Amino acid sequence: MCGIVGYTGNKPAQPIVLESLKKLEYRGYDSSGIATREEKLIICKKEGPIVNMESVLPKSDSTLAIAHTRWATHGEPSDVNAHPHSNSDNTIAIVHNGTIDNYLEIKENLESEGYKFKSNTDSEVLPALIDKYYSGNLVEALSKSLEDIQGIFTIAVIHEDHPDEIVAVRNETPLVIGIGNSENYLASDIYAILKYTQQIIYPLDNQIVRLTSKSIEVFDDNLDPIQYEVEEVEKYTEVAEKGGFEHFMLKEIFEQPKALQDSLTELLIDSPLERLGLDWKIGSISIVACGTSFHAGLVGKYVIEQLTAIPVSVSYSSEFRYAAPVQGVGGLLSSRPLVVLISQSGETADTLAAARTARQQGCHTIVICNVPGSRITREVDGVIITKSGQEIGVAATKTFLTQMQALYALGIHLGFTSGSIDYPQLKTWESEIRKLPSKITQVLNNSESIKALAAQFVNSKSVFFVGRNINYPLALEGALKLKEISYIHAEGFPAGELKHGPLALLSEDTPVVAIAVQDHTYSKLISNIEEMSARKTPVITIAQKGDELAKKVSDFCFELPEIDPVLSPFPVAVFMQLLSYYVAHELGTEIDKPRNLAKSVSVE
Amino acid sequence: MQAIILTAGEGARLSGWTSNRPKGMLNLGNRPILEYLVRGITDSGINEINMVVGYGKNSVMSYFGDGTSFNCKINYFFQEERTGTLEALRIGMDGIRDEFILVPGDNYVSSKAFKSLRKFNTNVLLSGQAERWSKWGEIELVGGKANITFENPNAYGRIHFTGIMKINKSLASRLIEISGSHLGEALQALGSEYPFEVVKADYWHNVVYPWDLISGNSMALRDNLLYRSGKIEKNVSIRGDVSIGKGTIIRSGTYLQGPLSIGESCDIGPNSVIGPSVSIGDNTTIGAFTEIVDSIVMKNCEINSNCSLKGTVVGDDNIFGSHCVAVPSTRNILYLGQEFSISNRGAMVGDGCKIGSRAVLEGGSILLNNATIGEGELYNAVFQGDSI
Repeated sequence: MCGIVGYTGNKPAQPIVLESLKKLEYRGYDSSGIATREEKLIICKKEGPIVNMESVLPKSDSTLAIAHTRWATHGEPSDVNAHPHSNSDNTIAIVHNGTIDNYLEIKENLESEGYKFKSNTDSEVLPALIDKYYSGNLVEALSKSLEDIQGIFTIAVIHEDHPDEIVAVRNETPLVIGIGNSENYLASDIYAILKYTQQIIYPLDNQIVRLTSKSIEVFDDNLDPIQYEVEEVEKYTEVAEKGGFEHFMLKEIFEQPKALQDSLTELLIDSPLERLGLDWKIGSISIVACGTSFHAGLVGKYVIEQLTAIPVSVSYSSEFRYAAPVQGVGGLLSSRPLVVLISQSGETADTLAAARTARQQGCHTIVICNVPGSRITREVDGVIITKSGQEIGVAATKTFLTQMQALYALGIHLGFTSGSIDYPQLKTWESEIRKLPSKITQVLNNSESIKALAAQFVNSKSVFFVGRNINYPLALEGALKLKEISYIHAEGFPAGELKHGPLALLSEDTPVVAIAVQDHTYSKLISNIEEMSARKTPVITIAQKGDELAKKVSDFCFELPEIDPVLSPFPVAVFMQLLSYYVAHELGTEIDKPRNLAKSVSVE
Repeated sequence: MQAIILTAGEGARLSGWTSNRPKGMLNLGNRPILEYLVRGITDSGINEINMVVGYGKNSVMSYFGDGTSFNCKINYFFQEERTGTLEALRIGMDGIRDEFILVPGDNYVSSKAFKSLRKFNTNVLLSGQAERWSKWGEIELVGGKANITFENPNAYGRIHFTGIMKINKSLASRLIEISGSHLGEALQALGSEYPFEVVKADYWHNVVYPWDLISGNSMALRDNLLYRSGKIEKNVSIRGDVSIGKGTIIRSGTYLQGPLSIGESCDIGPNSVIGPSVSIGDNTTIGAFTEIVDSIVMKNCEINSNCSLKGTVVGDDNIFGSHCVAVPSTRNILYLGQEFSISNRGAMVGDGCKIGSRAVLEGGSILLNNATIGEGELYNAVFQGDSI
């Protein structure tokens, strides 16, 4: 949440930071702003998406700039509350991502010293504090300011007297530094600057970094310069443009076959177990995640339990971290537990905290994450990187599929090493997983029929999604997708739970989407559908190819490609995504930037 | 200068392989035909391309994105109805400033061709040596002027128009005014009003029928990008230009003869013999003791042990049992109601077929989507449909 970028070098900084900033817009789009320096500091900021700010931005040839895109935490979205913030005489400009917990206290102190504040954000105390401590050296001033503040933050500062210098620091929130040729970059994530450089430094918490066009220095707590490691990141050419698609979400939905294909390599051909340090007898597994990742985790539970007979529990990160240990890790004391964390960004505050809790309690932790080098990957025992590429649409799509794929792969390898499945079964599973990209393509080729279906949902007040067994999580995911981008109220239930309450809500105006694949719960699901139809509720069924019974009992039936029921969550997920997309499209909502939401939730 | 690529059509005569994508997205040498065109265009110094998409447009847009990874800017325009190449040109003219190169997306030409088009200041047609009639007609030079004719029935070896040309905006608007749907006919109708230069492409391949894919593939492998990643076990022999994609494993005792392109995440061998002139798509497994020569095996296939495939096209998602054989022969076949003489071609297998163990597919036989051949069967007919 909130994205920051900075540039110091030998070229005009404005176009570079603007382009980088746009790649971070998924982190927040309430307001944005940019600070450049020519003789004096010039700050331009505006409420609304980055284009609003761009339209009023005066041209500048400054070779130094910092910029920010905001997701409001303290203070409403407005021009005044937008970043960069400056001190009273406009000699210092800062951008800040995170929250300052004790800002009221600092504000009162400074106000009693006669300082006048312009905005009601927590961030504005930062330029004020730095101003107070500044005596020619920006690094020292920032360092002294840090002693006063509590909270989580990434801060970047520039000063009128230093035409070439950005000073930055992080605590808990992300910051990456990119090294160029006579130019240097900073940003909230690597995707923002990968176009310009692949040489990346990941500073640790509270290490102050000074960037000039020619140099990068990293300082420890005592302001002694320290050695830093430069990592070479794989070149990533795909960019944050929609390339013909109307929305990023649709583009990302159509990229899923490729994402699955790209992630396949490391998961199947070489067993990831050794790399993950999983060469011991695992007593229990806890999967910990938020949002869509949580639903991937639920699917993982069904698969891993089926393949390994190891008990798996799934928890929300925000609950797991505060739970009593024995509950949290599904029998911590019994034998060695494994905790699998799932986070697209690797910066999700709750999941990060959950990882720390788990490690404190002596669990082996691994993470499934889409951003290499992200914070969580540095704090756990093993890492599986999904190769989805950057996901910009706030509604998770391709990362959901690759997260499930990673869990399936984990399941079959654990199952094979523990002896619950044999070699031919392992090979059959591998071959089935290999076929997923083409199965997904088949659903995508059917997108027009889903588009036609979407019109039925537009006037619905509520939509219910039901499924059983491995497709129960998909009912939850379908509901989540629909509500987050179309703002139609939607709920997912296990089909068997309907009779225990939700059935009371059904009527002719509440369509139900039922997932009826032919596994051992099929006949039960069909009778559930009949119960619903009897109440005149329109039922849309997702069924396997050639399922005449499902066609007969439902008002509309979407046929999945031929697939083993246990792998059906993949094509079902794509159906759910396309359905939500087209419903939202009909309603004309902001699909890529749903109201109140942002990607990469780095606050708790 | 700008370029327009027309790639909205379906390619009905390749329907077994184009059910999910336009013809331009068929892979030759493991890269879509369109990619060769886009790279050829950008190599000639053009970095703005208007792409007219329609049938299977999503596959094109997800592959090329906004063009950044191909060093250009790609704008997309949509031709949803099949209203012909002339209408496609009209749609693609949006934002065209003056001169541009017009490229129908189903040609495979040497990438140098685009550079040679740019050497001229006038309107230029790109010609090539034909294997058969192309829909673009033959080019005759009469009194120093280029004439397009559709008269000579015998096309083999003659100089045909490839459909690729460099023209200016005023000529384009004249063409659009002419009624009809086919660009080649409009060009002919305009007759000798406009002077054209004619440039010949080093090589040109017009992919129309399934068996064209084989020759197209071996042509495309001349531009084989040489990369070598993946895991190569001990005692693997590699001769000639062989590319191996990331995540692929080549198992012991395998013999690879270039030109050969193997995609990502494949599992090959042990003891297989592959190449020359073979493309293996991503995510395909090839079992022990299988030999593949002069063939295309597309994505996500499973070819089991002891198979022999020569001169053969295998689409996406096919499963071949053990001991399957598809070897070339020369004969006449009936395809889409027309008789063709094909020489030295194996079987042409569409997407999603299942071939049982010990099946024999005779040379020249064609299987469209989702066909099933039982164990031990001999198959030699042209087959169309979804099951047998």
